[in-house]
Amino acid sequence: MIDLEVYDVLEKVVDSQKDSLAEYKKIFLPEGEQSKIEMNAIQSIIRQVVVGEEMDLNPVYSRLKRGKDGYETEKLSNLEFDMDFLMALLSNTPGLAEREIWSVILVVLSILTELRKCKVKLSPGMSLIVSYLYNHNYQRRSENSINEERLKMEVQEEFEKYENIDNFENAINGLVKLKVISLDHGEVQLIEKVVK
Amino acid sequence: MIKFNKLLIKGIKDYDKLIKMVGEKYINKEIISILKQKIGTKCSAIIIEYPYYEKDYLSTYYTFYSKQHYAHSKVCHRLHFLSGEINDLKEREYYGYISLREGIKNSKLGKTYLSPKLLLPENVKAYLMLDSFSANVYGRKLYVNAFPWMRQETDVSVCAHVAMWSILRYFGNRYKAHRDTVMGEIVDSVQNEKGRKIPSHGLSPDQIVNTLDLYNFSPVLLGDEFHKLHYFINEIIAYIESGIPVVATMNRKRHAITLFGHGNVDYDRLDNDNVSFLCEEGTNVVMHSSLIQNVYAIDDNYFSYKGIDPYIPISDKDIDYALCEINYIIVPYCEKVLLGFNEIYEKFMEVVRKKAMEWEGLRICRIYLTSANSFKEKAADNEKMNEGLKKIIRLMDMPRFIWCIDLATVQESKENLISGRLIADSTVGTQTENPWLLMHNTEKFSIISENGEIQEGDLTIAPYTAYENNLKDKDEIPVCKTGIWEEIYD
Repeated sequence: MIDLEVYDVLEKVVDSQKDSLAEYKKIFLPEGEQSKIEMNAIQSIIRQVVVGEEMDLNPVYSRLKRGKDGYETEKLSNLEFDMDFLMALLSNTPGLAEREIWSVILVVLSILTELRKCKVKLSPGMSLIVSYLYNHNYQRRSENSINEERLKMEVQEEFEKYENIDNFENAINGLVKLKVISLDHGEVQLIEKVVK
Repeated sequence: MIKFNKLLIKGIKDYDKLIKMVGEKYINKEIISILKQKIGTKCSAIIIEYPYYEKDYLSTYYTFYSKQHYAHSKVCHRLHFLSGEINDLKEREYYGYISLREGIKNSKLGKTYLSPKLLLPENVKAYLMLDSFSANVYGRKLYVNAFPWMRQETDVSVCAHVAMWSILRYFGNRYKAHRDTVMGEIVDSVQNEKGRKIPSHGLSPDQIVNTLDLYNFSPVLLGDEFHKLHYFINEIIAYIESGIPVVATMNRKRHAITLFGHGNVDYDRLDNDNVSFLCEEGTNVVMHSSLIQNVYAIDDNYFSYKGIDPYIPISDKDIDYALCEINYIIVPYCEKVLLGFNEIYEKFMEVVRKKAMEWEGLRICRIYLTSANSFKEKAADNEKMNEGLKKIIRLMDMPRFIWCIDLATVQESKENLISGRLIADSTVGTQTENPWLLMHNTEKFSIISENGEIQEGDLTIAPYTAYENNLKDKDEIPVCKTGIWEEIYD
């Protein structure tokens, strides 16, 4: 079971990313469009996607310390984050624009990236993208030009070429080529920067 | 002598005058900010009463504050909220009161009964458990339809105490079978194996169950520590529809709240072509709870009547949790109710899948518990109910509490009508195969007797008005009119 102090740390880490959320929303949401997701929602999401039941029952976890670079922790237990659950939460929340969902995903990735400094394991970001794509209407599906099974295969094949998260940009570019998602070059670079 | 001061609220800034009128021991800028934000100019006048002997605060005063080195006052201020003049009699509408006690920061906010009309926007739908709470002011008895709320006192009472208190106060005020209690008694009733009760460091779900058990309830603890997508919204809504407020706890947030109402029912979702994904597996039944947009909570961290979203908190920027984060709910059942929601749900699904009675097409299903007396009373007054069915219901031998399952088509749901119903005995054992007392569709009915015999008959039953008794529509609750403002001398 996760030590409850972990949630205190997560809350502080999430809070440190509030500027990131504002930045991503500016990029992804059309000008003037109101956003439904604020930092209170991100706090709830992060708390929900943390998975700890399978972990070591003796987490060697410490308090948050203020270091010269902001903050750092001594050790963290091996937290994992369930990206599929994240997608389920986002899919089940009505009224969220696709672009807004992207901004949430990126903020969550930012938070996890921040935690990476503390040796936190991440579940592959690939499953995040794939799960999202399967569950939403996007260009090719709406055009009815290809059946779902075949599309699923193509996307999977594309991802299998990229085994680790460092090739994220290539994976995204691959998906753009398949016309599965439409992101411009700047947005792809941003995603890649976040994940790295 | 009791002093009554009057404060007109013509604009938001008028709330600032409360600092001087009430004093900094009882009110601070944070509370003023809350009043400005949450009430604003919906209220046009405040009556400030001092001294006010608030019984819940007194009960904790003698337990805790009276033992401290520095003296605390045992009296409170009370702020009464009124609307503008509404008629030639110079009457105003009374929206309830907040008591202010000496305390640190926002723990100054004590027992509060405020009308949801004051705190919720006009365009927001809310169906809430409310009861009439009275206030004796300047020799007049005023009342307000509200659900109890207070801020935790931190050392003496924490969120779990407030959650229990709100339920016990609601039941104690509403039902003769339940006696009223005070916060000090509740704190003292908690069994604590780890040492002293004050200062409190929080309660476990088991402690909440054991405490409610002492107050003439038969509480049940539902949920688990490690759920991921385990999400009992259907169950929560069924209890809310039954008029049973529940305590909900969130482990990761280390917090407890009371759930006591729900928001808008989004029937527009049923017009979507993909409505089949809302159906229960293998059936053409959609749970009414899946159309509900949010649930209302009493959360001692926030002012009363907070809407909680199911998956991600997007409706209210103050709230940083969702219903999905609930690990446990504690349901304060009456001891006469043995059959729980899960059991009745499974038995209903069995009826649907085996087609023991057929309801054609897509059906919206609402499951709730109610007293047989109230049910029969509403049936007797139901002008649209078939007379034959009415007679059957009024003559039926029922236990004190029954489970009801109402079924409606999409269109009927939008018009608050139903055309199918099942009634079950809530006192049967969980292993009883057939808990049903009655079921009907538009063409026939079945009555099931004690020995299991089924009496069937043909009856043409047109859609009739759905049962409503346990929740009140915030837009339709009566508001007390009073001329007290004019009566009080300046």
